[in-house]
Amino acid sequence: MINRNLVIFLGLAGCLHAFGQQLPKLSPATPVDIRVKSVQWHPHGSSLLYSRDEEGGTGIGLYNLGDAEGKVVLHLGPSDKWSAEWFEGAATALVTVYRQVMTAQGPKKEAAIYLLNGKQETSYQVFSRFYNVSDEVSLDCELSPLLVHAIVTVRQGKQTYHMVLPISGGRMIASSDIDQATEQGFAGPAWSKDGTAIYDKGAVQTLETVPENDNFITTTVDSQKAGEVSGTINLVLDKSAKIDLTTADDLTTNIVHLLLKFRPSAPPAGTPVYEVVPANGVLRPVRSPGPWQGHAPHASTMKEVSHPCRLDFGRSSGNSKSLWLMRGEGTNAVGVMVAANADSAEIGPEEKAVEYILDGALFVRGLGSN
Amino acid sequence: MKWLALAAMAAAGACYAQKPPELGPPTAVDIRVQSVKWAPGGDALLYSRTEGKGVGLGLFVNGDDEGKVVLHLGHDDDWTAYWFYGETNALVTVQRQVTTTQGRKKEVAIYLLEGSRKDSSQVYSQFFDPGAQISVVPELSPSLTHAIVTIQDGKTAFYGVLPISGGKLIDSRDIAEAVAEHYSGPTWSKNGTAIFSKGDDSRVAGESKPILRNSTITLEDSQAHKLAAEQALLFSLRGTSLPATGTPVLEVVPTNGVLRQVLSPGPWDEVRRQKRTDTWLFHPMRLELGHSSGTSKSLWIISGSQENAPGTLVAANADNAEIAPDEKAIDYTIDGALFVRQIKPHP
Repeated sequence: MINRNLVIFLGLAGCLHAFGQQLPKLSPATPVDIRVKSVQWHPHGSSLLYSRDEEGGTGIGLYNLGDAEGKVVLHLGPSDKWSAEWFEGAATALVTVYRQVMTAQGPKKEAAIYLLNGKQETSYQVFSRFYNVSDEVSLDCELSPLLVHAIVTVRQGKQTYHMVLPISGGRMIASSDIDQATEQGFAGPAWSKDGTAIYDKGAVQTLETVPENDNFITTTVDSQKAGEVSGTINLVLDKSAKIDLTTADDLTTNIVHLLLKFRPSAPPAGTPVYEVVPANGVLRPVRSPGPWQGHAPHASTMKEVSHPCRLDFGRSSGNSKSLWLMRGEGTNAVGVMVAANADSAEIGPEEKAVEYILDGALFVRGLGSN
Repeated sequence: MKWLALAAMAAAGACYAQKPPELGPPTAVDIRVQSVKWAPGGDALLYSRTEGKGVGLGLFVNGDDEGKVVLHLGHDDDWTAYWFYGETNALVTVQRQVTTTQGRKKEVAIYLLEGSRKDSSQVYSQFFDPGAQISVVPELSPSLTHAIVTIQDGKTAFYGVLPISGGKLIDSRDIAEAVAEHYSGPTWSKNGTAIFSKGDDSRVAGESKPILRNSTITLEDSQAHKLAAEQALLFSLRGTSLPATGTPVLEVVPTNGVLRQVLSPGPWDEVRRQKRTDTWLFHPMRLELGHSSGTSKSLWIISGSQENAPGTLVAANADNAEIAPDEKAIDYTIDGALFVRQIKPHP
């Protein structure tokens, strides 16, 4: 005889389980743009940046959830090397570009930085400098997690200097204060709870490595504190693991040099530090307002699944790669179909929307709560 | 033995005829697309798309990487597009309400859209009283980028000639005089030039009369035409006959709109369009993954019109579709994104 209470309990548990596996309501698909090559979600999932082929080069576009379509705001040449990074606290991104150009002084290498504003759907150049073609030049951008404010370290051979993107807008400002501070062993920027850049004599960890074999990168990390070696870490990177790097095409197939940088935390509140004045790039001594407390990353509850389908009609058949959002595991998994066919897809951070590309056309569907 | 060979040949022929259409890869043309109109030769398409401030008219020529919007119109502009037969060019007539220094006016504008240059140019613009009933009738050459446009405001008619040399519409007084002298036209010569003649004009005599009531007829995507059809459609039928070769006629000089007396070079010989053998159709699908399921409207192209004919999957899901004339391509939209796939010619 079956225990009636047990049946009720099991029924309730089943209902609760089903409720727990409830899937979001998908909004209708919005086509964002065509000829899309890559997509980069904003850290909070409310906007995305994409690159697309266009006549004569590459267009960088922005799309905010709810917009009727995306808009290309920056046009780059076909050989331009670029990378983009979102400001976490705004629908704004910084794009770094390296390209060969012809000047009155002959061929040169140009390093440029553009600020892309998602609200105004505009872009403008905040930094540009020409170098000899043979010069090794790199721009290392550190973005405030709260403000539209950044510190850029420019390395030209053995020479290093710093630029500041001021919150007031306009072009980047050279900061000789930061140059001097780093020469004196100050490290940074770390980010304060106010989103300002902090320099102090805290910890910085860097590693440089070369690939060991086809599948793994094994290396030794020297952890430094104010220039003093304090420990060694053995690090094994599995190359089959997914690593999101915007311009990773060369890296995945032909890694010759990898630099990993660990962002230091700002010192505890009250510690004497130097703060970059966000409006003008000048360093001022202050008591640390405390470190930036980033929000805990939103735990993902769904995953995108591409499922091959065979479509039959009479004597004919065809194939598609249907796209689903799945919640749960194994036989308990429930899913909702996003598209009957899609080449690639990614759920945005905080699960606000899912983007997918079909034959070059980029679509976004919002994920509402049911 | 002979019979066996014949039977084998027949079977092979049947298989050959039943081969499913071969398609090229999809090309994404544009997004937010509302309507599509193929060029008569199937080499290009004109489409309208929603834009931030109105409607964009775009062109796509088969083989292009994408479409391009070449004309931006307002939300309430009433527009109609006409393809030139032998070209990837189109003429677009627009009527809209505008505010001028003289107050509210109705503007009639005509644009030439060029597929090869992916550009448009305004060839005519004129302001009328806001309540004026303006009829704009373009007649397009079957082989040249050349047209005769009749713009009628009540009893006043303007005859404009789009010259092959490009530029604005030319006011052709010659045509106005010829029409006043009961010449009719244009008909099109074998050279693609416009001919006016006193031939057998079989235009329906008398006033235009409403011949359809309470019916819906969509003409050239024109909202105004749709409304007219809902109320009472005024229809005039024209069937001007083509003068035989050697008949004295008036020919419009295609470069300047002047009429000259010539012996008719003979009528335009209509290009016979390839008989359509392929058909597209939608087939509802149920897609499953574990306990979950979804539906789609799969799009297929089949050889012939029988549903059991061999077919090729065009798209796993599509909202609407159309095969281009001469079966050169098929277009379809998915959630407003327009795609085109070339159809490889039957061997």
